[in-house]
Amino acid sequence: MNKVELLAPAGDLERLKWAILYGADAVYIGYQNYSLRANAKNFSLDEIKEGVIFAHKNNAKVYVTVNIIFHQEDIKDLEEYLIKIDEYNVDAIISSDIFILDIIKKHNLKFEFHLSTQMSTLNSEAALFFKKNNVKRIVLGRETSKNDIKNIIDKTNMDLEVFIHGAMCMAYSGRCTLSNYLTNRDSNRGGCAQICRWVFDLYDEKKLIDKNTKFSFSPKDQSLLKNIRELIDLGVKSFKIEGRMKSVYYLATIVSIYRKIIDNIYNGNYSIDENDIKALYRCANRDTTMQYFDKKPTENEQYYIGREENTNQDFLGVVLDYDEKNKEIILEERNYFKVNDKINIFGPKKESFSLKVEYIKDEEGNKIPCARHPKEVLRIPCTIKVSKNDLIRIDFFD
Amino acid sequence: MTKILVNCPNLKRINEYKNHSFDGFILGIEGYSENFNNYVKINELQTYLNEINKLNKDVYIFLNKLYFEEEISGLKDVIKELINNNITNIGFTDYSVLNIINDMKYDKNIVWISNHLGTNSNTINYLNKFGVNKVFLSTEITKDEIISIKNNVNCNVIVKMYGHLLMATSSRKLLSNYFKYINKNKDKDLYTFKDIVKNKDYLIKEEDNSLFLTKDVLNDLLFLKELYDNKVDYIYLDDYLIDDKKFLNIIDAYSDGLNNIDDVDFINKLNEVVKINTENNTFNGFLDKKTVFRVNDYE
Repeated sequence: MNKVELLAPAGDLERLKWAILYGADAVYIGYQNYSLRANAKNFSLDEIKEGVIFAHKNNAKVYVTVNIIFHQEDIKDLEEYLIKIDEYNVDAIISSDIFILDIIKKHNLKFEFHLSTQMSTLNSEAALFFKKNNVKRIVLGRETSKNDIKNIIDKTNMDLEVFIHGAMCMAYSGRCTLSNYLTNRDSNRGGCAQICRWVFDLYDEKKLIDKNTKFSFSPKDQSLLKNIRELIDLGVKSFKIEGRMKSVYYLATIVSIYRKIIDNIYNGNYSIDENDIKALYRCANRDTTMQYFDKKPTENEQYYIGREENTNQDFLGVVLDYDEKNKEIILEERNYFKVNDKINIFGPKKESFSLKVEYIKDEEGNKIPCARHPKEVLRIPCTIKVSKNDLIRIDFFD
Repeated sequence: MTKILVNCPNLKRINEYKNHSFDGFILGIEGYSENFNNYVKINELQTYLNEINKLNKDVYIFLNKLYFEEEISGLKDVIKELINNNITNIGFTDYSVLNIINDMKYDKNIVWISNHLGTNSNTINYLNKFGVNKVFLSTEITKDEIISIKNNVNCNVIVKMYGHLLMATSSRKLLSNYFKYINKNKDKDLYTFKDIVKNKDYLIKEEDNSLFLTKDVLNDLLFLKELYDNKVDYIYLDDYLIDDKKFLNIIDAYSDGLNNIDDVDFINKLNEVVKINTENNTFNGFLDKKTVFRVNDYE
């Protein structure tokens, strides 16, 4: 039985390495052109090459998003680019513009074509059309329910990729150009200004509907944490995490939690740790729901007023090394913490643990009461051996 | 020769279009189409066709929704009915329709209603292999892009030149959900929402899906000659929320424009007629406005 793939976003080469380190089976990345996150750092050609080499060494795959809706002016250098990334051995491209299938055929390119969620594939007949035309995998529209997914798999036997966690579009993907109209930024070429996060006044003719509650169409985030087993049983091939613009800490947290759950299911000891739910919520600091998985979203799947999005400073530092002789963690600080704080340490494919900070030493070995300079290298005592690239966060589990 | 397409009104009003010059009616099928003033029940189709035949107009059926799995069986029945009624132009947005009509060996005109996605010639040429020979272009591209696409495809292109523009489609019941949240009754399906910062109004309509529309009305009559000269095959005039009588004046203005395509002064006068009949709330959309997508490019 093939294990389901855990597919993580990577906004740049650093995030690619973190995602793979923390357990992603595959990552999706974007080049500086042709990608829907036009304002992310993204990858240069050299970085794509390096990312693929790193991923393949670690038995992971790299999918490159070529998912803008192309205008005439965007097509000029596309063939040359696709030939180049094929030479780098990328495993697939994720695209919504199906003319690229002709380019793949013309040049006999090796990578697979995965149809982007931007095409909003919701049914088996559409899936069959794409299957007949050499689409190897479909990233389903996020509006599909559990029953839709089951039916599409049963009727097409198609490789399906399903979003399991992250922010949602308000509209059918690719069918929202609010950004174009309200800000002149082209949403289908990576310029989305996230109009669905704005608030508006709603009127009936000239009568304001409600002066206390702004009209908004912002969806809460999606999390299918509690449905992973069902999705595996349905035969979904790949679980996708949203968020190429998200931080390393977010990525490591989300990937490690889903990695653990998937592995536990295949090992026969499926259970969900309440602490994982808490960690998932805190790292994005947005409410999550199942969205379309079990029913059509109601008012409970939307944000109106009363939503708080205070940024937290949970992420305290990155482990650089472990001094076995002195039983000390050598870390690079990210956010403020102090002596006597309770912290939690987690790392790739291991159980997290908590401890109280007995002391903090600076680089010269001086004991200091608190860590207040991000990027500063510090030492704290710990009797449990930790590894480079483990992450340190506030212990918020009590 | 550029032709004019308009939406089909309800059965009683079809005859009002008798003395107006245009080429084809677009029909939406109840439950399988969206963003129409009037929907045709599939069992009424024959009656509509009889009326339209009296006016000697072409018929286009636009199946312009995205469909969920549970709708596919009904969709197949509708398509069978369209084929049985010898419909010569079937439009699709969801690829399920293309797959089904290809499987049914439908050999008439297939129209891709691209809903924002018809932005380049390569995609259109790809679809041409599957029988797609008419394309409703994106309403978010420039005149130069339209012309470039037209020059690089073997398909007919359709350009919307008048009407409220569809900005987005959501499968969420955004109005119903909001009214539930504020514990008030939703009395209708169409409301206005205001961008508070820019004090600008837009429309939201709830059908099966929630549809976001411009409140301003697209009017590109002043671009008619350029599109005509570049052999744009069809223009589409959309009557949604436009007064019935005034819309007939709009059809006449565009039709007169096509018949007097080189008379700049006359077209300018026609443009004023269109504006008056639209209460001056018109704009040019993106024909003369290029979008940007990198923050660095944003002025």
